[in-house]
Amino acid sequence: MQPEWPVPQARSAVVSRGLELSLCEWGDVSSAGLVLVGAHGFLDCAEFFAPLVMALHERCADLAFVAMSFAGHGRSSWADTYGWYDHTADLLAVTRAVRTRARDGARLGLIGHSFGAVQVLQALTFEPRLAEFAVNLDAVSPPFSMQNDGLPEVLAHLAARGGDIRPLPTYGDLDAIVQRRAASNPRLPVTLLRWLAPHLVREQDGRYAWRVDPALAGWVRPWDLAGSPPVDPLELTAALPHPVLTVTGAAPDHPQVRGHYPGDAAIDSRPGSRHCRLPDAGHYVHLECPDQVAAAVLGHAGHPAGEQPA
Amino acid sequence: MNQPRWTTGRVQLAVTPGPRAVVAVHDPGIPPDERRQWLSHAQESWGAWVYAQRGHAPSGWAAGRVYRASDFAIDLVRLLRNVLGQPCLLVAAGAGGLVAVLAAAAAPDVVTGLHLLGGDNSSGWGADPTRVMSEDGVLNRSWLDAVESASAAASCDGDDPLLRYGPAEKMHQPAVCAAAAQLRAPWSVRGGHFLEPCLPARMRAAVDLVPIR
Repeated sequence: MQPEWPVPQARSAVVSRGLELSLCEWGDVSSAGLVLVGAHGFLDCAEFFAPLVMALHERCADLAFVAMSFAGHGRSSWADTYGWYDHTADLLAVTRAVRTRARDGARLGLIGHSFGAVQVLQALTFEPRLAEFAVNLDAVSPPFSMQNDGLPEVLAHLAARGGDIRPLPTYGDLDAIVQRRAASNPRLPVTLLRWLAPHLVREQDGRYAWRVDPALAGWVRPWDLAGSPPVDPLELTAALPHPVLTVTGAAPDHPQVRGHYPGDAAIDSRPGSRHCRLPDAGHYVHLECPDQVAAAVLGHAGHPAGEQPA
Repeated sequence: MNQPRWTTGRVQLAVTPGPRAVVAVHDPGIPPDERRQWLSHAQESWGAWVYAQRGHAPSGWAAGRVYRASDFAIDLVRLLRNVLGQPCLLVAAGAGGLVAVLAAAAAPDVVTGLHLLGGDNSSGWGADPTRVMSEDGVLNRSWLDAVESASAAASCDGDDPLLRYGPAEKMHQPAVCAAAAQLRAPWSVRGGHFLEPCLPARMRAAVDLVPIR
């Protein structure tokens, strides 16, 4: 029987920089004792947290989870260009809005996957009081970026794309979407990808188009636009006053690390950080091992239903 | 005054053609009156093409209201390639010089020279180079603090009010200097310019702005 992941109980939006950011809500933010704000990975969307939410709610009923879709992703508005700190500003705006709605005394944590995890750490460096704790899902090395002298090439590339940004490919049916995504993320169950597919695409002229701004796709990354070096999540972790739980996938075929793992020792040596290493997971730790991640998150949040990470 | 509009990315720029292959790049964040005065001067004195950079009236705002020197530079490269269609001299004021240098490094085949004017007397971003470039951190905290409360409505002058707080992200100074080192066009400055130490000395030359009359 195919598992059924929870659909959001509410969809809402926060306006940041004039853009409408789409939110998925599970649980009641105004009454929950534990509130989590989720930030997804690059080119994913808010619904990617559904399996983790299900695992969390099986252990803890007094929990609300609000996941955002970053600008240009999912059902959120598209911007003109995408820089590193505009995403940070958006995450801060969403977290402030959720904090305002949460009841007095509720514990609030930020949880992010990959790109979203680095954004979580970045956001808390600017407004540490917004949350009590942070969770980093498998973002342990700086993202790929251009060479030091590559700024002119990046600008030339973007300028050459011209005013009409090339549309992304479209697909005839949802199975084709599932196959395309499975090719990029072979560790993700096909059943889950089938569930996610309608959230990843929208219908357009009888075909299916990605719910991703084409301006985000390609080899240029947001951090390239200012010529700045990519952000090192471990350095951000060390700079935060918060306890940070870092969950990493350690499967031998982890596609993102390509045979070179940045090193558990580097994570473990960071003061104040806690490390949960999942030997059976790749990059999508929260989708591949939601039960283990949920237990680690609740333990990190000080909830009795949680487990201390090994 | 109705100016021709030209779309770059998802933003419409107001562009006024000039008789010469000269493009004037104004200091970003400069108040409208000061900007119009400088652009009029560029038109009348040098026969320059002039345009208002994104976020500055009568050009459109960027969706998401993020303005970086690199966004302006991409607009400029597209303007040079797709509208002017011939190699041009860039005359830039204040932090417009940063925009011009980045554009010239990205599109060396369409820039014949750079003439940079100091921004000391400007009220735009160029008045304080630390607002636009930084050695390490690249966030402009003033922008981050303002973006939450800044009204989505146009200021009375039509400019995006967020421009007053500087760029969303500062440019990474080593990356800018590395880009400047790749310049192939001759450059000159008048009144000193904060980019002068970054520019390749071998390319320094008299880039004369011959008055149109």
